[in-house]
Amino acid sequence: MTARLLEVDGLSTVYQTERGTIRAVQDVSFGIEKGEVLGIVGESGCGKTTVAMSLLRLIKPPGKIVSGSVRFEGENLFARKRATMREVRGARIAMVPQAAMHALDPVRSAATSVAEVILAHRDVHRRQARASAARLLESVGIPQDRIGAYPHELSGGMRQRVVIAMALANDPSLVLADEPVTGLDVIVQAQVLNLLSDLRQRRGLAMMFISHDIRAVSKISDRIMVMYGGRVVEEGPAATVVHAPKHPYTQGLLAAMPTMEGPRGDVQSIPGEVTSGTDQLAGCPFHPRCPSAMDVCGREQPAARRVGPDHRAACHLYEGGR
Amino acid sequence: MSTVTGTEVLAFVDVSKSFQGRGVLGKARRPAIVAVRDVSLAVEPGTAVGLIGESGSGKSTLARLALGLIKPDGGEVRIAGRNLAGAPERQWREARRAVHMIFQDPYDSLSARMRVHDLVAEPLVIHGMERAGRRAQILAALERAGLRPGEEYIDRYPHELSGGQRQRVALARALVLEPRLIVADEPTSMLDVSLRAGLLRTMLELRANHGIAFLFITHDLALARYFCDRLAVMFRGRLVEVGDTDAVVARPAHPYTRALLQAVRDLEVPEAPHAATASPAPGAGCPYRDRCLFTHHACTEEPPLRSLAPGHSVACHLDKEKP
Repeated sequence: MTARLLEVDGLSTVYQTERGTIRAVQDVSFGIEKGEVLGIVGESGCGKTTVAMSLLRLIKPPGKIVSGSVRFEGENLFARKRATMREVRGARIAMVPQAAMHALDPVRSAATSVAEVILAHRDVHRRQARASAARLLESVGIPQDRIGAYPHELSGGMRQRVVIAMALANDPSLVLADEPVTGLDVIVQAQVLNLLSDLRQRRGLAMMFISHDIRAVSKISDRIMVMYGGRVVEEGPAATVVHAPKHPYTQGLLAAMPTMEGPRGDVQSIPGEVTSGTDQLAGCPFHPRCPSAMDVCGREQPAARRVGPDHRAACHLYEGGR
Repeated sequence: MSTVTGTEVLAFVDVSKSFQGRGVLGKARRPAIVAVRDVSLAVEPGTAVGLIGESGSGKSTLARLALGLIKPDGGEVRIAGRNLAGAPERQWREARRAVHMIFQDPYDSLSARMRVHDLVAEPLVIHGMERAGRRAQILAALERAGLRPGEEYIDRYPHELSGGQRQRVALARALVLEPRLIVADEPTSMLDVSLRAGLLRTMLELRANHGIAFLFITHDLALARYFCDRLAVMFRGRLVEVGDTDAVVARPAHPYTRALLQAVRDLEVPEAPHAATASPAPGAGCPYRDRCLFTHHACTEEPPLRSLAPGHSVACHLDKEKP
C-alpha cells in the first residue's frame, strides 16, 4: 500500500470569541494522493480556508486546533516543533493565499519576489536564485522581458502568475491554492486554470484548490469536497459531484448558478442565510435551509455515508446506506 | 446601431471620454487615455442591458457617465430624453434623481455608522424630499428591496446584516427615490452563490412590477444571460458587439465575444498566436487585433459597428460579405 501524500483525520479548529466559540472546522477528514487535485468548495465561513491554515499550523489565537491529525509524506505535522514548521511551509507545502496578487511587495520586481522565496529556504547564491526565478517565471508564462517588472506594471493575471511562481519556487509536492482565480476577468481565469492544470501535469504537483466557484473547481480537480458550516457534507470524484450531487446543499449550490446552457429562467436560491459557526446548532448544519429536512435532521449530525463508488455524503436521506 | 427612439430611459449617443494621463509631479503630460469611444447604446424602460467586458474596457466610465458624475468629451448622455451635459443645475438634479447606482461591495458602500433608516433616508435628504411620512416611504423601499418585514431591519446597523441583506439595503437606497434606471455594477459578485439568485429575482420583480430599467455591469456572461434582455460587449473603450441576449449567446459574431463565451462555457481560451501584451498604438485599427485569432490586413482599419440582423450589430471585418 502506498501512503497518501496527505492524510487529514478528524480535524477540528475553533475560534474563541467574545460571542462564543466558533467551530470553524468540525471533524474533517480527507486525503490527497500524490499528483492529485482536491477541490474544496463552499461559501463564506464554511471553513475551507481554515482547513488550509490548520494544515500549515498557521492558526493564531483566538483560533486553536482542538483535535485531529495531519500526516504529510508519512510525517505527523502536528507532532513537529512549531519552529520547524518553516521547513515545511513554502518548501514542501506551498500556499497561494487568497488575494495574494494584491499583496505583492510593491518595491520588489517579479524576479526579486520569487528569488526571495528561494533564498528563504535554500543556501544558494543570490545570482543562482535569480536565475532559477527567471526560469520559473518563464514557465508560468511571464515573458523574459517582463520579469523585472514591478507589481503595478503587471496586469491581474500576470500578478497571479508571479504568485504561482513564488509558490513553486522550492519545488513543493503540495500546493494549497485559496481562491486563485477569484477577482480575475473570465478569460484570465481560464488562462490561470489552464496554467495550473499544465503545471500539475508537468511537475506531478498535488493541489488543494479552494474556491466558492464549483465550476472552476470541477475544471481542475480530480475530487471535490463540499463544506458547509465547518463540516464536510459531500465528497467524491469531481464529475460525479457536479453531475450527480447527492447532498441537498450541493444540489442547491449547483441550481443557484446561472449557466450558459438550458433555459434562462431556472436559477434557484437556497432560502435563508449562510450558517455561521457560532450558532450552536444541533443536528445537520444545513437543516434550517434544507428543502428535504426531516425531524431527525435537527437532532442528530448525520455521519458520512457511501452513496456511490468513491462517493460519500453526510445526509440523513441516505441513512439506509447503499 | 442603437437609434434613439425617444422612449428610452438612458441613451448614449456617440459618447467619448478620455482621461488626461499625468506624470509623477502632475506636470509632464502623457497621452490621453481613451476610456470610451463613440459609444451609442440605449436602455428602454423595464429592460436590462448587460454591459460586458474585462477590467479596463470602459464599463465603469460608461456607468459614471450615465450617473452624470463625469461629462463626456463628445456625444450626448440622455436621461429620459434630456441631455445631461447642457442641462441647468435644477434639471440636472431632476434627471439625476431618475438614475441610481448599486455597487459591487456591500461591505464598502454602506456607512458602518448609520442605521438602515438613515442610510435609506439619505437620498431623500440630499434631494430635499424630506417630509412627513418618510418612515413609511423607507419601509416601502426596504420591502420592495426584499427586506420583509421592513420594521425588522429599519433600526439595524450594517454590521448586523449579512452581505445579501446589505446589498438589499443598497438597493432600497436606490429605490426610495423611485428611479427609472438602476446602474448595477457587479451587484452579486461579492455575495455567496446560494444568495445571488434571490437578489436577482428581486431585481427582476422591480423590472416587471415597477418598470425600472437596469444597466447591468458584469464580466459574468452566464449571469448576464440570466438577467439581461440585451448585451453590449465592450473592449478597450469600444462597443464591439451589441444585440439581444439570445442572439449574442447563440450567434456571437465578434471574436472577442466568442472568446468570452468559450471562457465561460468551457473555461478554455483560444490563445492568440501573439498573446496580449500591451495596448496597440492608439487610434490605429481594430482594438482587438493584437489578441484576435483572425487578424488580417483589413484590421489595420478600425471596423465600424454594422448591423448583422435586426437588433444585432458587430464591429468586425470578418464575414463582411455574408448577410
